[in-house]
Amino acid sequence: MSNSMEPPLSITDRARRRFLITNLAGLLIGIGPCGHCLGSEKKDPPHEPPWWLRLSGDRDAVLRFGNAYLRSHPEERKFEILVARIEKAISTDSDLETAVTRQAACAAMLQHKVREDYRRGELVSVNSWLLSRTEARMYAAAAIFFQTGGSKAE
Amino acid sequence: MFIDARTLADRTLFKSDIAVIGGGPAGITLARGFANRATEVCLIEAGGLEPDTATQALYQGENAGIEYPLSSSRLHWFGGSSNHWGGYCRPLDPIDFEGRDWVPHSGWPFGIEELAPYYPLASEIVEIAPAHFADQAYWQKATEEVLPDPVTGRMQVRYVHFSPPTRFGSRYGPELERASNIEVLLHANVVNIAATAGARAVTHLGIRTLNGRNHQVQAKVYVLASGGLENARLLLSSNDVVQTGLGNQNDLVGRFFMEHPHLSGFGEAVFAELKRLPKVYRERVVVDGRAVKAAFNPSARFLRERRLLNATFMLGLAGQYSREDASDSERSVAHTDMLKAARHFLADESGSIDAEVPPPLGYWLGMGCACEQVPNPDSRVMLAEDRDALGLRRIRLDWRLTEQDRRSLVEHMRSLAMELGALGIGRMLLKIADDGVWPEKVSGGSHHMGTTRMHDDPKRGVVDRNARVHGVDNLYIAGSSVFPTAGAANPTLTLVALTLRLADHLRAQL
Repeated sequence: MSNSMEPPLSITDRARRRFLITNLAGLLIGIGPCGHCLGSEKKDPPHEPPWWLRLSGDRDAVLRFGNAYLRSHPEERKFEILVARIEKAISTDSDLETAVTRQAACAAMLQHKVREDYRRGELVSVNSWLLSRTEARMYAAAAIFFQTGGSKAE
Repeated sequence: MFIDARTLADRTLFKSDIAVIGGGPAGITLARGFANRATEVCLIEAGGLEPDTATQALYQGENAGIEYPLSSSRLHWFGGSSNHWGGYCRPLDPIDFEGRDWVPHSGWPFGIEELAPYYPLASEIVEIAPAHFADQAYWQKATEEVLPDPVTGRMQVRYVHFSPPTRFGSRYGPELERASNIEVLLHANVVNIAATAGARAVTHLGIRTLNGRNHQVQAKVYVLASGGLENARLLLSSNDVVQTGLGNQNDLVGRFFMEHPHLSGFGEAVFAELKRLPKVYRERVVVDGRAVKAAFNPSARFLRERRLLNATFMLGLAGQYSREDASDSERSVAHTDMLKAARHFLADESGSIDAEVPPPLGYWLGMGCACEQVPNPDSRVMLAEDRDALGLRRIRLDWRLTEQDRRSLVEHMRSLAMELGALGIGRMLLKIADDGVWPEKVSGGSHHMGTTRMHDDPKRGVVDRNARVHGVDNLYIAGSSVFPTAGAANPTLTLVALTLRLADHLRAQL
């Protein structure tokens, strides 16, 4: 958690959702097309990439895990579906919002959700790794994002 | 006194109050229980004070089931298999003693409270006392590290203590040699346990040496302490009165052979920061001269909820990856990919205190597991047609594992992955396919258990709660062959505790 003196968050689910999707887009410095392609046509770039893509780690590594997840979960091969599911998962955790700062809040919520997945056994096997479902979806969303040049669509 | 049976005149007769067959941890512990008392003890050891090839070869046999190293998994000289013991010590868990309706043939005649008084002395004998097997607060203070408790409700942390390891022959041999009431016969192979007509009592032991001498030992009480494989072999071979073997009137001797199936390389884990995985969770830590290491094993509540078998897992630091690691091995790529993808979840990214030394990308952990297997009458020791140099039929072992055993292991591995993730420590890679088949390379831990199991009902056990062979008044068995279930703890500490209990019982009888 950050030690910033910014005031704590107090937001409704709706407000938080809007906040997650839009306000943190600025954190995504450096995320962009990488030249990999799923074989699908490039689409228009997204309005704003979701903030949590920044947390998805090394691009090539994420691509491998993300694509592996998508191969075994073809019904989720849509960026919007993944985004909606990840953000729904995060938005159900409200116990952190009064204790963390604005920028740290989202990362902490994601961390919390991923650990909760492990604690509850919400796991998927990806390339033989047992991963949190939320974490795996994040890699999958990032993989789509990277491979479609930033398009939200498959 | 030590006596080399090869040097005695042929057909020498020894008489004592107690004859103990086998000079391993159980036999030596039992003999020590009578040292310098009025009771005369004759301890009979097939080997000498050093290993020799000819004696060791007597342990060779054949496999009918899972390939098993019948000779190299045990040692045939004074001190027995303690001579290659790894020293791992942990008591059985309370649930191991319970009759569990999902574990066929489970249930000891007593609970852990019966053995609990003997574990402290057993800990002294194997030189780990005072032991703290389950005291997280104690080890947190002793190691000066924060030791996170498991959070999934599936696992618990226990502390394996490492014996030096105690080599029972060299450690306790001099004490036995000095004891005025104990004779240790070396190079003396028991080839027959002779019984009265009707097999109500043992009359004497037939002894044979590799140089062709034959002797006899007569005693009031006989204790078979030759190990989990040889105990069964000797009973089955002693068939001059009961055709199927002494104590085998209900066809139980040799059945229910159990091991702790070990799988090397079944899983690996990676983690990014040493501070997230306390040292005692990943390596042996020496505190006050005692070496300990944390083990993860399933909680009793979880075992009951999911109707699973017990297991023990230990982690070990196996390697490190630099940020510039360029290895293209399959393992290295898989590990570094995971570390890079999950960086945000596994590292604080606060940077190194010493900027000149960048922290490594991460580490990988090897894993060891010892699993309980369900008692299975078809997993068994039999006699082969082939005979050894003394004319005894060799062992034919049919070690079997079941789907229930495998499913338990897979579920526990999942639990471990959950704990590592939930604690923010690392990520786990499972290398065992969930395909209903045991991996080909399953091995054991040289833990031979169950072949003369304990049960109050003669139709369900070879020995009673006092380790006396059902139907034979003066024959007892010491060692892990009497374990009705195997638990997931290495057996030496428990078999020593059981032997101490047997010594108490025999002292009251004699």
